[in-house]
Amino acid sequence: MTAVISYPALSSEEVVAPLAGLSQSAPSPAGDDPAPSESNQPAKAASAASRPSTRGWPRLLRRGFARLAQAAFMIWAAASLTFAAVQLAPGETIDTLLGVNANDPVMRAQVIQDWGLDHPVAVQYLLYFWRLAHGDLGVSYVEHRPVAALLADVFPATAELTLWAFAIAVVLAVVLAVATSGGSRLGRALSQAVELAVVSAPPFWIGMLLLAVFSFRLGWFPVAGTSGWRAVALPALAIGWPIGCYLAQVLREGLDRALEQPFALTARARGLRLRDVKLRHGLRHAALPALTMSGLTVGNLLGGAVICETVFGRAGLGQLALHAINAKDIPVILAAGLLSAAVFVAVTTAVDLAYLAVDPRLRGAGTWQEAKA
Amino acid sequence: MTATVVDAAPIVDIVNLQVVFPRSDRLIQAVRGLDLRIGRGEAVGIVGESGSGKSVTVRSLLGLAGTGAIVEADRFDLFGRPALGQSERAWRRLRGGRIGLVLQDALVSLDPLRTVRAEIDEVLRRHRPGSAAQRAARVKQLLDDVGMDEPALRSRQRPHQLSGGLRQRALIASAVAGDPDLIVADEPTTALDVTVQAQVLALLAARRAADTALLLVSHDLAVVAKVCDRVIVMKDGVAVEEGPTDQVLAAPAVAYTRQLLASVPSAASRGRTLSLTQPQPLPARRRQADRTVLRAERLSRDFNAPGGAVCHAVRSVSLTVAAGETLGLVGESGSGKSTVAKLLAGLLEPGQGQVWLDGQLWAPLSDRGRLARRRQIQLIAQDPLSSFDPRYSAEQILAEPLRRDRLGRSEIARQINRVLDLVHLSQALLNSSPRTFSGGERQRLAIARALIAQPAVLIADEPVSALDVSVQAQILDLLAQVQAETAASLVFISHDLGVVHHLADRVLVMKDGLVVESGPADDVFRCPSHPYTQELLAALPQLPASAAACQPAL
Repeated sequence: MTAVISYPALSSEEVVAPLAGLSQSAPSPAGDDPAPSESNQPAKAASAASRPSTRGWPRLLRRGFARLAQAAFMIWAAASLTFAAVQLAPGETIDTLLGVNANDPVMRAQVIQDWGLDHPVAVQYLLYFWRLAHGDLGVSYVEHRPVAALLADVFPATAELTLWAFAIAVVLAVVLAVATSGGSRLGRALSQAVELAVVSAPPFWIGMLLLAVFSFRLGWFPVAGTSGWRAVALPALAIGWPIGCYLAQVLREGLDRALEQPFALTARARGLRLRDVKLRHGLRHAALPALTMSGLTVGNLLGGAVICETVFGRAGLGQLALHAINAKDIPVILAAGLLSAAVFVAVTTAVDLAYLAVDPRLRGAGTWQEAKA
Repeated sequence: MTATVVDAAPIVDIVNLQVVFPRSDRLIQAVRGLDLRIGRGEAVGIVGESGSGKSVTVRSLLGLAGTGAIVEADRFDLFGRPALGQSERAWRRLRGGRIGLVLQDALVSLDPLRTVRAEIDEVLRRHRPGSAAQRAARVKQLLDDVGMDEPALRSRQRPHQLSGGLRQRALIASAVAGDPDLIVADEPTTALDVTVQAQVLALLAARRAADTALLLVSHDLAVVAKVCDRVIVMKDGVAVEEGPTDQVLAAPAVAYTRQLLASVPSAASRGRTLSLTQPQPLPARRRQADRTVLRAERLSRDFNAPGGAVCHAVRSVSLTVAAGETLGLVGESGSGKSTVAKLLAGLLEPGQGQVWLDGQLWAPLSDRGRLARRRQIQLIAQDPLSSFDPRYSAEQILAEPLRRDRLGRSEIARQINRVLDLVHLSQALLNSSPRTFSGGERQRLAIARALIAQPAVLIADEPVSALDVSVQAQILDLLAQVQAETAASLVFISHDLGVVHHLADRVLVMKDGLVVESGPADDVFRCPSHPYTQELLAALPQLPASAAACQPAL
């Protein structure tokens, strides 16, 4: 949980790369190649019947299930790694789990009971999953409360912050990209300069800047706290703003590329405004690389929350994890790690499924060549 | 529409059109002083090679000449009103509503992420508003009008789910949805097979018969000849010749038009050069009909199509190529001709059957077993640029096939000069990257690279399909000359029947992975026996001058 949001400079190819696995069945645009490009599938004259494949939807479902199975596997792997980390930590497992309470005989007995430490490792492993399956994440021997309850206390606040931050990022990215793509060079250069500055600035610094202006000077928002939209506004902005600027760059590049495609000319030749061409046609094309990036950033948001929650004095997952690390409260650290892994898996799975919604070609169903075969 | 004075005016009346693109270091004059007049219901064609300014001209009719384009004219009237400098609002009323645009290749000219219905509905909402039900009915009607079977089903599909012909019909349906008075079609049939091209041209002709004017832009003279009353020949932004189609194509007044017509390969051009103003007989080839260089026996190859289906790309194809012979392989896209090329070249293992090279087994065989003989078969690709390592200079590209021989520097230079002379490339180009080459120079370099290996067989897969007709003529002449000088055999693959008839000694006609007809080129093309070959030949647009010369015997 110590990961800080970082924004590596990715080229567009790298951004699109995660799509490669899904896109094997997407036909590549032929470009302006004036000759019939020959594929290995049999092609036929226009008169050939080309019914859509009725197998399309089941196949899509199969693909969705495969992706969910993959997600389940990743969560199992993360949980197993967590278990292994406890077993392989130097010293006795029981001392690792107890942390500062290692000398309390009552607690020692309690831990042996909770974790089944008097059983062989294989049984411990099965017991561990048995407990996980029942939502039992163990007990914090520092706080003397179930870990699940501790997480449940702070998770809503973090989820609220993350979702707001993401919403701000998306709106900002779309507005910036649509306003500055294709058109004037000046507006674009200006926007890019500001974006670069914001992306480069550390989030905590942006947070402190926002606090200084809007809380201390103007008094519009509270300085600290967790309740109400006012409390969430500034921290969400501090996290969402840089992400929005980053996504704007990816989205703008995608829009520019879409506007160069012949279908953009066709759309304009229908009498559409340039703005409408961007909104109705371009955005969907630009969304694919942007989706990949937002999946990665949302996964990292939980990490970024640590800093922002500290600056804004908010309760949250980041704060909980920070305290647990300071107090060597191993069960909480493990649970927080497991939870962030689960969120990451959930988000990337959602992104992969969203590809299928955005680009019908990736559903891989019903191309006319297949329908014929 | 009420008949007003304005309606009686010609649709397009442009005098002295100038289109300039300012670049950082210079001005690019795309169109220089073009006059264009299109009356109601008239069909006008613009013919020219790439860079002639034809696309820019038609796009300027929609106010979409391009980013930063400066469009000027002494007169620029659309529907009787001056259009130059009119507001964006006024332009948007014309676009789609009164002038419809059809581009090349609907796979990318329609939004690939949207359904056919959404694309057509976009025009209706802009220009022919109505309730959702009315618009849906209109979409169905439009798809019906362009000859789509099952319009309700098609309207829910996306471009990649439709075949090339259906896709292009959908694109045309969207262009005519606003009921425009003028259809502007920029290379509308260029990526299509001949039979599909014939259908699309018939469709445009039908719109034309319904009193819609047509401006058809093409690099293909025969396509324009089929549909247009009047034709303008453009070169370097200037109209070099203009007049009634029959007259211009049958009796061209200008040398450039004559050259353009002479460059079109066909039955009539067999055995003579294409690229010279005065056609010369081609150099004699050394054919040894009794010495078979390449022999394929009952080749088959399947592919797994996505979704578990099996696609039989090549089915029991047998062929022989004699020393010094040119074998033509024709067929529409997907007929399996490129797969045959890969099987012959040993780049793909056959599922069944064998290939013999000079009497020795060539396939199926391990790569190691083929390595020593690899250079005896060389490929020439359609897009030479993508077959070159982008970081290599021309010299490195040519030297690469010699690497195994560990030759001395001077010997490599000697070999390179030999092939450069063969393909008429200047040594001055050796150090530059092929990216800076023209299309013709790139293909010459690709041929030179194939020749440096001193192959027994050249396999050329659509080597001239991406080239302008005059460059195509030069490359075809070059291939004939190279064959005469090196005695190599040539397997020439093309979808273009004219090119194959011009060049090949014998032809194989392929359809759905099968060879449906084969024989000497003149026999197959003049008296085709298989219905498919007859269909292909009938679909071929003919130039008026050559129409009598190669009438297929039906």
